[in-house]
Amino acid sequence: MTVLAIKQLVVEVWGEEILHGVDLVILSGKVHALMGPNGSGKSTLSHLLMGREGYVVKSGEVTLDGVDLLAMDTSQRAQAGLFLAMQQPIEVPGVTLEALLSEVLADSEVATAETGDGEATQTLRQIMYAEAMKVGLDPSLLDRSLNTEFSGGEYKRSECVGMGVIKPRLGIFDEIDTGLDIDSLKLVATRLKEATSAWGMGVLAITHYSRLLDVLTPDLVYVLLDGRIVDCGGPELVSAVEHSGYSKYGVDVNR
Amino acid sequence: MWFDKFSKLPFPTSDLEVWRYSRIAELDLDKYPPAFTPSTSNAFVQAPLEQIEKLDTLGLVPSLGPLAGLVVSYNGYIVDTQIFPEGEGFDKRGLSIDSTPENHSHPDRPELGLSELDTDVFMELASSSLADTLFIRATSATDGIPARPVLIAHIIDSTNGASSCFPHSIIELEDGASLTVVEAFFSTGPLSHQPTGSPASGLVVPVAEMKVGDNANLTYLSLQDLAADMWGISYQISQVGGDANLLSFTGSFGGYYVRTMTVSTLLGPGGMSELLSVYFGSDSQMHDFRTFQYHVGAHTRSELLFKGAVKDTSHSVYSGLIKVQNGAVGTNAFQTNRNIVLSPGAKADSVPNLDINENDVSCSHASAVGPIDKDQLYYLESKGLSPKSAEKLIVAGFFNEIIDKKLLQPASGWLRKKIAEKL
Repeated sequence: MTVLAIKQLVVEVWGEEILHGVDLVILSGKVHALMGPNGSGKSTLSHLLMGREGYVVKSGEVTLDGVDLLAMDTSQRAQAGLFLAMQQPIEVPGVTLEALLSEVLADSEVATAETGDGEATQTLRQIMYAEAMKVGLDPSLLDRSLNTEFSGGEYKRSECVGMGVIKPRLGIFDEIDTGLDIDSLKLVATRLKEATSAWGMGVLAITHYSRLLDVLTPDLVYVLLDGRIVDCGGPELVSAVEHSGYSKYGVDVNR
Repeated sequence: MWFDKFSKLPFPTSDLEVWRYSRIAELDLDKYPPAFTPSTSNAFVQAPLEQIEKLDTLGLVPSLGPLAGLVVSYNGYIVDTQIFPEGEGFDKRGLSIDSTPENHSHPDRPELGLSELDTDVFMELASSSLADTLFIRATSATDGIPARPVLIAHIIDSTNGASSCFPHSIIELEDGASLTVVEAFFSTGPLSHQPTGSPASGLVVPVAEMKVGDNANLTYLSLQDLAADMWGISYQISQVGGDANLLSFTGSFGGYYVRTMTVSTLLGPGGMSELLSVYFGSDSQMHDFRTFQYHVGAHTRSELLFKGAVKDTSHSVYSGLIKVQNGAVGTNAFQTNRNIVLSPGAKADSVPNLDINENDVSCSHASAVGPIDKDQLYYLESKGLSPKSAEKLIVAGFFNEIIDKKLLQPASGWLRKKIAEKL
């Protein structure tokens, strides 16, 4: 079992404190939902975990199986098994997803170790094609430059293709549901759910909406409000938030 | 000074705008006497293809596929010309390659009023008796022939001492002709990715003059990976007729100081020049580009895209001018120069300019100089790439915008290898 443990994490972004002491545990094979209104710090947490420049830990700790995650740079975190599907795509002109993934596999020490189901004999191209079909992405898009000519929904689905090739131990999916129509949303949610059993991926799904979580049933739900975890519970918490919003936590989200 | 015999024009200084930022003050022509006509016992003359194979470490020549014609020049003197037999998909009718000046007239250069060119001592030396002049002509019989390239392979040999050479090519496409010409420079001496001392081994001054007749299509690719201690001062001067298309590409990787001056004049309605360049400097190299897009005829178009990278303490210069002459209504002219600076000690200067003397035109220029985008690095590293691999992928992607173009396909494999080697 892989455990990502976040303890009393205080984070500043470009000098402004955004997270005021967050505690969170993410386990492999489980689905965790992180809910909360805009501006509560959800995306900040995801970039902090991935090691983006400008995101500074003032206090607290983050460990991955007991190892200090914060001492690693971004690529070391990814190679340790962390994956982030960012909310906003970053364009990389002239670089295709295939070029990226083939470099990732070349750089990775565990490139072919975990392909127990005969995938080792498949080419990267074939794996990508199969992954694209699983999330309803037109495979012809795989030849385009990364994120430059993608619609919002195409970007989210191409991130799922990357996930399917990289097979991370823990995946953070920041609003993977936005930009997806209802059919694509079901495909993506199903794909993430499958990954939790296929190779025991732990999921942190950051979302506003319960639609994603109808299929991708969470084992644990966290509510993040104004930089603090204010509630934690089982899947029933999703419908509670859906019904009554965040006002019961005593914060006026419209301020 | 030996060159006094061949040109009375003054030697340029960096006080002139067109030589600003350059290393011309460091160039002492007296250190580089003109190369002699090679003796017939010279290995490069006896078996030029075998010698080229040795110098062509990244396999450019094999990657070009079947050729329509081949010219080999040795220090500016033509030692071999061939037009390959007709065969599968190739009809040699309409193509002539010759180096006998008596058989040819020099095409008139349009009067540009471009004093930078008219008073240029290097242009005059290249037009003098210092070297052979190559004439490549294509008639409309070449239209529709699959794009087998004509390769002009220049061997610059400094093993017998430093010298200067002046290869001069005239490429003339009659109305309706179509042709691809690849001009490649191979030199003895240290390659650009190996560190070098001071410039020593030679100077090459290539001049390519192109005349693209009405409805004709010329693809011209110039590729240089000169030895790391060489000087290069090159000229690409084209005139494009009505409904004609020119694609002119320069790949510049080697040399100590390599300058490329590109002048493209659009004469007739519907004429189009696409001017492209990829350059990559390392160590203490300097790549220097001066471009002139001259719109003379009405309803003409030019699109320029030059992209470069500089690392270590290398330096690049891009200075370009779009000039729209009175009467050139309906001109569309674009000029874009982008540079990635990979090391704190490296430098790229970018100076775009417009000079528009007509109202009904659409012209724009853009330039950018900067380090690798941090967000792009973050994105790629977040997928597991090491910082070094991420940087390589971003730079390769940066150049793909140009290298992926269909007409560059004959050289694309070589260009990718060269860029990877530079990284």
